[in-house]
Amino acid sequence: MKYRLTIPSDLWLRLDSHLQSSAPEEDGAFVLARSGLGQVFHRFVGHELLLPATSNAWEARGKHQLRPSGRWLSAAIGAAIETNSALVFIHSHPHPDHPAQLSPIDQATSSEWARSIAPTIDNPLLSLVWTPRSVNGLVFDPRNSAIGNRLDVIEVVGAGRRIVVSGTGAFLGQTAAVDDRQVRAVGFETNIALRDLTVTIVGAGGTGSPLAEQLTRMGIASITILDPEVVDSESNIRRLSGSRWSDYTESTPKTAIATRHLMGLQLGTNVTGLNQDVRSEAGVSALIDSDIAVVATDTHSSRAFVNQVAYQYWLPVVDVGLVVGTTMTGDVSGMPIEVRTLLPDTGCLLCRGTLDARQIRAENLPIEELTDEMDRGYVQGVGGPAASITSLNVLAASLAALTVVQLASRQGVTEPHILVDPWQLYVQRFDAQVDPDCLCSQWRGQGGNVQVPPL
Amino acid sequence: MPPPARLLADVEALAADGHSVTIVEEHPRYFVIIQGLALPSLYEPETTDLMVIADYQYPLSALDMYWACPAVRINGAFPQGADQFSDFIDRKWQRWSWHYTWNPSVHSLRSHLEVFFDRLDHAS
Repeated sequence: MKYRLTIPSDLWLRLDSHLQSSAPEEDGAFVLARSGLGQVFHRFVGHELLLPATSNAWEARGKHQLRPSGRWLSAAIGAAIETNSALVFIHSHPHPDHPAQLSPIDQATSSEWARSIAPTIDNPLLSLVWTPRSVNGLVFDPRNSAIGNRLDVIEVVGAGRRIVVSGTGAFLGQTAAVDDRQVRAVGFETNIALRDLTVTIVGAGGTGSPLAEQLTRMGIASITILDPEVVDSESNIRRLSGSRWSDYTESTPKTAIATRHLMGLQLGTNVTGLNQDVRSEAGVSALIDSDIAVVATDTHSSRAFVNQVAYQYWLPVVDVGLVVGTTMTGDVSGMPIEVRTLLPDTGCLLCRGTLDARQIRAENLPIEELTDEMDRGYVQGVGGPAASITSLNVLAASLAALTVVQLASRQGVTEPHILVDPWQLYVQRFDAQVDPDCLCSQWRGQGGNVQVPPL
Repeated sequence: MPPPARLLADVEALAADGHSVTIVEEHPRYFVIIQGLALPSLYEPETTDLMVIADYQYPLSALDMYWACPAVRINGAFPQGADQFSDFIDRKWQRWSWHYTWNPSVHSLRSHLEVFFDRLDHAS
């Protein structure tokens, strides 16, 4: 099992500012973090920062020492128990001569703390050290609190970006000739971020499959692609990247086509196809293990599911959707593509009014009841094939792929909700504010504390 | 698969209001039955079992319509939009095709019931 700590950018900025402002003296803080398990990662999601509020927060504090008072430590333990959270203690090593990792004394103290704290809070204790250049840490599990496991990834998400502050991925930073033009376009740093990226794509259809190909050609480290469908109509063949006519006659799963095609490119990306609905335990695991997810499905039900997981686990998500509009006379009235970026500091799809609760209900109906309700006119536009043309799907995939690049770059995503209509030739920006009354307030940063009911 | 936590909480809230509520599970759907619900005076019979159908994504997935057993009449006729019947869980239910825009952040099982009684009052 690997360990990942995901911190919202506003929390990180306050923490970073606090630790910087105390230099050259050491300082520290606690963070409460809920968690959830994927197949690969135990993901911790920071949700509350506990700064030393009073002068008696420290028992000892100086340029080379730091020890919280028993009173403050007890208060932090109480807060962790109350919120069913792991407790993260982060302290600074501001002096250039100090190690960028936990010192032997730090490790011994952390281990000693963990033996009493982790079983008390029934959650792990994380001990981190901050320097002006990096952050590193260890995770002490309540079942085996004497031994610290390396915290593999520490990431900050929000303000349009996903920044890795600690973590070595599969890519070690050498830029090969194959990356030359990409480096010229986005720079060395963003290229490395892309090469380390693990992305889950929900939907291997007309948009998801060209998106997967673009991300593979960008050289990202790993793709997991989920789709429960097989090629069951001839029109699928026109739209799926890498598909062949025989995939229709053989009813090949869409994820199998994507996997075959992408692995055949031999570009080094690790591709996993899951012939499953994202609304499943496997789907949740894949999302928890991801750096970024892209939703390229046309159902509100799947979108709603990923939307909830995204905010529970602070998972950056790019949601892409498209529609072909036609007039009564059969002319094209527009081809709007919407790209929505979900981050802790943006509104969720419910905040933005994207999700339709009646549509979700209709999608979840048994087929005979759905047919009955469609016949009666209660429900429209569910289940049947949507109008589509390959170029529009590929454009939607490109916009989503570029948004992934923006998320991985220092510049970040500046517009978290855009509409692009290549037919009518216009771009529209939408508000993406958090609605404080939205249901998502019950999920945000909750990790595994809140149930995500699978299908 | 247990019902969504929010559905269970909403059922508990109705029970706290004095209603007798049961859930019949047929994953991914849940038939919520309010037993012996007292109806306004012009309606016959005086009480009925009222059912709503939720699914595993409740409350993100809307509650829509109502089902009654035994069937309810007013002045000897079925109320408007309540003249069709459906079979669920071995009973024949009168379907009330009454709709409104569901907001997952606002609505609940209790508010769904309030809409029902509000419309009953207007229909009478």
